[in-house]
Amino acid sequence: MRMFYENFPFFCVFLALLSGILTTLVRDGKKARAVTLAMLLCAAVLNGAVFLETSLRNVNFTYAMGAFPAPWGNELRAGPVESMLCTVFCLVMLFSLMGGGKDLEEDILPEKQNLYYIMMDLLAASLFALSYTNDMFTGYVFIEINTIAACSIVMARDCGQTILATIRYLIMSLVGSGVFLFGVSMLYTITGHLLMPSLYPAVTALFDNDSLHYPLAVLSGMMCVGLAVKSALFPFHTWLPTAHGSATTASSAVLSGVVLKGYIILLIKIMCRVFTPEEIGSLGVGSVLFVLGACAMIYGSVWAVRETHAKRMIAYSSVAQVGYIYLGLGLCTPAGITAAIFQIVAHAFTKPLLFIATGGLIRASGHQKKLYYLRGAAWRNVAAGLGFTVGGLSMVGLPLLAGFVTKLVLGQAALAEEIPQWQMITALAAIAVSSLLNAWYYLPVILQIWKKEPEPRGPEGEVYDEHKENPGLSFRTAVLCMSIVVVLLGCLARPFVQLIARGVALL
Amino acid sequence: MKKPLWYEKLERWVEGDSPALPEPLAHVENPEPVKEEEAPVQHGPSLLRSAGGTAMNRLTTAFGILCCAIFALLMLTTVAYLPRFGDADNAPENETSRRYIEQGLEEVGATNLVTNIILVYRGFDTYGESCVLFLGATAVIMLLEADRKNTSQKDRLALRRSDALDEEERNQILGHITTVLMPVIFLYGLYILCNGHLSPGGGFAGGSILGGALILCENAFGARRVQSFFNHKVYHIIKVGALILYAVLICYTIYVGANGLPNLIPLGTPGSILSAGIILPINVAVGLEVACTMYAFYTYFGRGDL
Amino acid sequence: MELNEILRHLAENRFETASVLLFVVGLAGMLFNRNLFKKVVSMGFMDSAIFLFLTSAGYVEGRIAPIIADPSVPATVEVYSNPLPAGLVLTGIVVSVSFTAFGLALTQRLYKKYHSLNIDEIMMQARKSED
Repeated sequence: MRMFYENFPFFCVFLALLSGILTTLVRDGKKARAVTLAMLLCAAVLNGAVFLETSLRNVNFTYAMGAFPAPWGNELRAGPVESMLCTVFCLVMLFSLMGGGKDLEEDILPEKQNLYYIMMDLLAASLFALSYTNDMFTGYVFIEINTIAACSIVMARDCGQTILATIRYLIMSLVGSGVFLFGVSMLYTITGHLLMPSLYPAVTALFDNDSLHYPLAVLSGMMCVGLAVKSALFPFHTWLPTAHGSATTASSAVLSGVVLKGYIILLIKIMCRVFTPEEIGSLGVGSVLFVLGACAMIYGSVWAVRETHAKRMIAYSSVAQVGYIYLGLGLCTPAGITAAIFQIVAHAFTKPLLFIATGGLIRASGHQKKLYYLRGAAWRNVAAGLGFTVGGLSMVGLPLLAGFVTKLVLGQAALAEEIPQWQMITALAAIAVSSLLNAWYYLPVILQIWKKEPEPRGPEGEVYDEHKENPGLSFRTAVLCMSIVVVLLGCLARPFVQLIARGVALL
Repeated sequence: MKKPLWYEKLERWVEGDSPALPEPLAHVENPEPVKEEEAPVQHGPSLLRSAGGTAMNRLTTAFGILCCAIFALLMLTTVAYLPRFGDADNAPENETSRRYIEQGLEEVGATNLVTNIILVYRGFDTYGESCVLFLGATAVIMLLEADRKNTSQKDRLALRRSDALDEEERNQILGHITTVLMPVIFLYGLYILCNGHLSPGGGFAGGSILGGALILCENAFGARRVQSFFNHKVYHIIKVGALILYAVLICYTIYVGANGLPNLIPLGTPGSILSAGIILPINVAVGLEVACTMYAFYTYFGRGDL
Repeated sequence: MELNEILRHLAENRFETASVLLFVVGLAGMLFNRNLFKKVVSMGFMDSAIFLFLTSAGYVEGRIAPIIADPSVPATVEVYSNPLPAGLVLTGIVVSVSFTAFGLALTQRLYKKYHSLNIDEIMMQARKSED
């Protein structure tokens, strides 16, 4: 007889799926919103319980989806890392929806708002399934659910630009999932398995045969590249800035903070549970991810410096931050993966905080999206200003904030003995340059939004009323909570990193 | 007193007043987005050629095609390493497929072994897949359902006019043939739907045939006839009802199986129509959902409504 | 491996070879064709290629489709072919149908708004009316 809490991952997935399906019958946007928020809260509690149980006992468990175990039926597998990430995702989605609520009501037609929340529900379901799955093909199916839902929340703000961004996003995503599925099919042809626990010994056996290193390298490369395309690793990031920059605030926050990470978790599971990190490193795939990650860190930041559109600037910064994650993964050591997971959590809170805060600043500036018009906006919406300041400083890497710890942990992982010298130097240089560039574009914006303008003006010369915009309680709560988490992650870094490291050892 | 140069530079950086930024007042924005009617209809030479951006485009395309060719070579050499086509001792012929074939009938109960796999052994995947279909339909509705953003008054009038025209001059041949064929097609669809555990077919195949029958009906008798029995309410109730039924069945199987509880759903005699436990009701549910979705795809593309 | 050995293997695995070629054609079409409708069609190419690959993985010479004709005779692996790839392909087909519908719906909306299927042209017009 299994412990009852082991059912929770399965409950979470179906809770999210069913609430999405039942929302079809709710035609009212407000009720649909309530259903989604309640579902996210429940799922956060359930996932949190799994996290507590597994991390206190320091165990993980497999859960057969039906009466048939590993090589025959679908399976879920949960441990501290997976359940922690799922809890983080629930909370981030909850805060994003709370903070972006006002923009949602304006951007989406009232009769279609319930459809938007359906997409959010299924997005949550797919993220849970991607984190918990123990089966490559389930991974593929839920990648596709994730893709449709993510594309739909981009296009929900129905204008020409978002639809164009959506179709570009859709096409790149489909290329990614096609390449991934082909990799999985090849793996199936060589090993005859689809479930990770049976793939692991099969792949290890293949490694002993030298002549099969080449096909293994190609197919693991295909799976990694497929997932990298979907998580917008440089040079496959071209769809990201328009999609994240033009969507409604809550969508941008969820896409940047959560959706990109779902694929990376699947990638981490493949790296650790199908192959081993050392095998991925010896096949050369790790180095490719490492180099691309380092390029992304610089390239994304350079473009963010040149950008004058507030949300697109933050979107380019996401490209750079995804680079950090891949840099950590590319090191192919447990320390590197720990750093990557820490960055996933840190970025999952920081980037939505920035997007939500920017949304608030933009609303306080008469819906002008150019950075120029945001001058002094922090005084018109103090909560948003504070949120942007905390998020921006964290990105720059101010000590005691989450972003600083990421850079520190990544640097430590790169300085380990087993890392080759070129990787060490590249990693440190990339972190240094990227931090400098981050400071280059975040600091001026932070200074500008706090600058008291005698008479803030829009493009037509209109004067913004200082007290016109009341951001509302849910906006303030969301921004405050996320800021607190960013600070806490920075202050309590050591125990948290140790927690992740123990979880990674269990993967 | 003159400020030093570095101070000015610092100030400019903090102010963000680089030339890339628009001047606050000189920057005139289009006050309202271009309306659909005003959007220029391009029939002649494209905008692109006049803009002269093609050379760069061609270069990137050439580079991309080169990348694709390299990718193709990589994959082809990999195929050379794969096990030989059609061999009996290839990797996929392992204990997994052995159990599916030799014990599938006894454990799950359907003589169609593929159905056993997709609905029971890997039932979670397949539930995910019907959710993809559900999401696809929802996304299409989100995009195409007529609202004030995507449909102008002119579009609405044009649709009403073409409907009226259709009512006046109904195609007689199509109508008569459809009257004869419709029962047969429905029966065939239902047969495939309900025999999914005994013969090739099942919910997805049977559902698409039923959906095709509905589409034929719409073409032969007009949208209004179909709407009289298949409107928004019916559509939502069938779709949600089918997915909930499916979810309940699959959740029960998963929960019972995972926790080692006895499964109370009888498997029946293999080969008879009422056998294989949850497979028959799931096939019916999936079939209804697929039929609704197919019809919804068709009519939302054409009319922007059911 | 030598070149002619590779070629011999490719000829033996002719279905896999064909599916790889089809896949790359679809990939190139999706990435580099400027026509949105053709991009969606290329997506179908890509998916079908994967289905062909999976189906050929499950084929074994001389075995029949995995549907038991007579339930009283115990089934053995020597008679029936592997049912798992067929199940995977079924799942894949439904996913591909949903994506085709979604892609075409997006294309239709863009065509209605910009009166063009060429993505470069649409991008130019969209940039002009940017907010």
